[in-house]
Amino acid sequence: MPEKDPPNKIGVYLCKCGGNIGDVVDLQAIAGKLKEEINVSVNIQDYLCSSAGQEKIKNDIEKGKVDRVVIGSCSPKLHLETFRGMAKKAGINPNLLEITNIREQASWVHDKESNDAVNSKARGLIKGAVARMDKLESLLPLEKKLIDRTLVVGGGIAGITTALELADAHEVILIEKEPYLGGHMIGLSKTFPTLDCSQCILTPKMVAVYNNPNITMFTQTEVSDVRGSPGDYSVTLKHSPRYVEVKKCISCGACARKCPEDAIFLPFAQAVPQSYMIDMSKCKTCGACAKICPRDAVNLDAKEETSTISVGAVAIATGFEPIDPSFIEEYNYPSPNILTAVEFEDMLSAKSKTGMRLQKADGTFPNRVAFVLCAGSRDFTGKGRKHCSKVCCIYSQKQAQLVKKMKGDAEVWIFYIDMRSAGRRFEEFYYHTQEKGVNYVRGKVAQIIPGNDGTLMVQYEDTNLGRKGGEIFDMVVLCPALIPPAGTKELADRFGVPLGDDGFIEEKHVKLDPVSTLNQSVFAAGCVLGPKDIHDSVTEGTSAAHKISQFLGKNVILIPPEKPMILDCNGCGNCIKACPYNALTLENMKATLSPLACTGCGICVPVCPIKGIEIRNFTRDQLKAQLKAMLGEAPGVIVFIDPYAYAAADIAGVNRKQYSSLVRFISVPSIHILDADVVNAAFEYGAVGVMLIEGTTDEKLTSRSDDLYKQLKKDTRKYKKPIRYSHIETAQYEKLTDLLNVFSSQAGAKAERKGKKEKDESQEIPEE
Amino acid sequence: MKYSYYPGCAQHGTAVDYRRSIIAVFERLGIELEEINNWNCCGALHVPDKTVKVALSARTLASSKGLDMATPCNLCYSNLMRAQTALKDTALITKVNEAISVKYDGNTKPKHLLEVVVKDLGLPELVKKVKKPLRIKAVPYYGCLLTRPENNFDSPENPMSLDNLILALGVEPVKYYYKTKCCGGPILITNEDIALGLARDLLVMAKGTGADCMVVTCPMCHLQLDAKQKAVGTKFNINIDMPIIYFTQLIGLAMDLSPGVLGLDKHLVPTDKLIEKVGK
Repeated sequence: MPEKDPPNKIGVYLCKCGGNIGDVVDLQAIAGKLKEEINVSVNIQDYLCSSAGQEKIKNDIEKGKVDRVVIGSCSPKLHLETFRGMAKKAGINPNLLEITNIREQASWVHDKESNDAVNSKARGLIKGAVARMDKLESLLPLEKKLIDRTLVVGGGIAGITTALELADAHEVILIEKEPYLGGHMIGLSKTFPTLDCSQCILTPKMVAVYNNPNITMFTQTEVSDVRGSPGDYSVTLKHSPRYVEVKKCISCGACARKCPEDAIFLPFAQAVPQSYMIDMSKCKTCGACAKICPRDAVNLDAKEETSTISVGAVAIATGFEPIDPSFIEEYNYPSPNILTAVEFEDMLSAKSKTGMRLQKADGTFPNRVAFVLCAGSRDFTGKGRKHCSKVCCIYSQKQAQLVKKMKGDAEVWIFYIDMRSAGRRFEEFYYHTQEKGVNYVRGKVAQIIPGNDGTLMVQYEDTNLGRKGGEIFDMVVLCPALIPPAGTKELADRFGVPLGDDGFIEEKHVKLDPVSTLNQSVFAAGCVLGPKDIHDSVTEGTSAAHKISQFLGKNVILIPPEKPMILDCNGCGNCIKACPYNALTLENMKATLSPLACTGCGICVPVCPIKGIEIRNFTRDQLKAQLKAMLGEAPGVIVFIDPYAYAAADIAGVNRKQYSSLVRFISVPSIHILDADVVNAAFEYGAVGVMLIEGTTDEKLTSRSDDLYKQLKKDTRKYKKPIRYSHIETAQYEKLTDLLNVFSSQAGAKAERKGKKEKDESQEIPEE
Repeated sequence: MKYSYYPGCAQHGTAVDYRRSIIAVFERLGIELEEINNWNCCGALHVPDKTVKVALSARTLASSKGLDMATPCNLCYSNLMRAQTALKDTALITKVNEAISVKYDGNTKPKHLLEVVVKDLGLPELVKKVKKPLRIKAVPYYGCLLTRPENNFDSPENPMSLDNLILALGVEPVKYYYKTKCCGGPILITNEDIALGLARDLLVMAKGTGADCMVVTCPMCHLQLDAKQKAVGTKFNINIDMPIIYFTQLIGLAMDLSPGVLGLDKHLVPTDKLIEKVGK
């Protein structure tokens, strides 16, 4: 390589982050040391992300004081794009600005350890980043044309809103698992806090979806396969048979009148699409319906079909499902007259099977009704879910009001832990429900015992009065935890979108980037991001539509430029065989890359027998320089980590989950870029142990991880130092910190023993 | 299959009927129960001193000769289990071993006879021994100590092992929401009013299910529900007439053993009607 002349002018900028970093890490001392030991300028700011902070960096670049920037602050997942945007404006290549994470990976997770340990780690992280920065090259992102079509998964209120908002300017494909649109909302009676009827406000929107020329709608449809890459997905849809052609059916009802088995029906009067369907579990295929249908719409031989669509963006709006409360054995669900709030709503909604009458199992009106909140929510015993389901406090009061409205002298009790009525008009609603004469008991229900006469004994503790009690009711309504619907993980995995430990989709940033996900072309809205009410679902649907519109409006998608470069090739074809995405081909006996098909996983790097392939800006040389500088500061445990697992480490930071300060993360696009060359270098420079942690759910990668691990273990054996591989999904931050602690203590102890032994044996041998 | 057997005091006193049925049934199931030598009281419910309480059970558990220890009584079982859990504390085991003459290594597994039949033997094996499916309805009643705080074979809130056993014998187990409620037995002496009230709740609910009998797994429950049934009837002015039988007696009936061998003639609530119905 030619000598660099003149040398790079690297500027290091450290952020106090209020006191978040500054109170734990001694930034002044670090700045002093850095200036002394390596040739960099160092600047400390209170809030680097503020306009004043950014302006400082921008000025330094514009005045020519620095031409490369290393920032020590919060996670790059938060502000890297902001800072790189600024760098670009100031006139340097955005890739020449990097963030090293001294908040989530230092001040927030080691504040219980000694100051020396935290400061030493922070110094090491920054020195490593500076050393790598010195060797980075300027790169320009690749561009790929976007497909201007969006797939909305889920036809509830969030999906409907997203689709309608988008359809003004973009083509939309909306798919729904059920035979009709409307999701859970169409199964609601009245909506809080205004008590307007759910179907009255929703039906016009469902019809608008059906009639919109820019929206193609499929019911009874699910995603069965996803291929391609962000901005250019090819999605296979699976359509279950309805046995009646939606486009032909005029819902005249002739078929239903003819059917001897009640097997052909309209799901409910206002259903969209307005089309009959057949329940094959009841149908005897007598063919009477097919014969009578004036439009020839019935097709009893219909089979499951698939179709493939190509889309540039995806909105996941698959909503929630209520937890099955039968696991709470002491509540004896299901039993006659013990129902969930969803079943209660159903009875009074457009979908009602009782003619919108509230009734017990015997058909009579319940005179004493109990609502039991938090059935499966706010449960830290490990049996239920930890989260609060948010809407139950208000909807149970709404349901209580409905009971009182139907029968003034009916008695209604609400058993609650805390009454949470935060939100506009909700406290007033709470007050109003009390005025109606509803009984509130603060305490968890211990047991619900069905009697022989259909009544229910509810045993509870009243924590306000400090006594236990028992009451007999006619009907008990359990308010179940709202959980992510079955299949959320499979769907999210297909699009490479991580979930939180509660199973809901993880947003790109918990507060600041709410409907975006870590996949730049995939967005989410509604309850699949956590339980919420209609108002909030609509807000998110609108936001998702806006984000998607903004995304599609660029026409092109920028692809990270950290791709393989082929420096030397002997035409052996190993890399072509290894590439899981068919991004490499052999042309004139030389490997050639199609950058748009490449995901940058780096599997091709270690398989090249002549070390002729490197990932740009993650070359062996650059990684080694980073390792040398980092470990030169102090020995530690080197953890190579991919972006998905890196997000888990960030969550650990946000939760202030402490782990060993020996841990030094090295961010890599995927652990598969590593070979023994880099790992041995880590050991050589003083790593006491090496971990490979990946969080990707891409099976094309994870299926090869074991082999990679075995190979590395074999090839690094001479150092007799521990190496470990682990798969940690983004949600599993607690597993991550446990693992880091166990490994660090083992590796640390081993290094100590070894150090002692060597010291005893070879005190006279001078250091190299 | 062989177990060391800790009968508990009731077997040699009030629960002679239980004892007879166990001997008859377990012999035919091919399960050997070897009664341990020189056993002592389990401490029943009220031994305030923790070391003494644990030591009583530790002494029993130490006599297992390396076998799992089976017991027919919920109280004994509960005490053995609790002692076993407490003795994971090595300091306590040292202290206890100083107090008792034998040395306990902490490795004996206590098992209730119900667990032996349902889990170790298994219901498919039991079904093979059934000669006469009984075609009656029965209330499964586990009592409060068998499944709580927890054991190794059933749910504390809604146990099903006895339900399944009853079903295996050709008997319909009725849905009984009081299956783990207290029968009142432990406070019969100290507060008879409350004890009889608790028994009344159980019996009235059981009667309401239309079952032919109530199946129990504990001599204490049996005493309370069978021997005190008349007292409950008098006190609350109700007619109950609900035969209370041990699960081993029910197995015996399904094996077509004679009522006398099973001790069914020793009950205070007459079992004649039940035997007649089963006989048909």
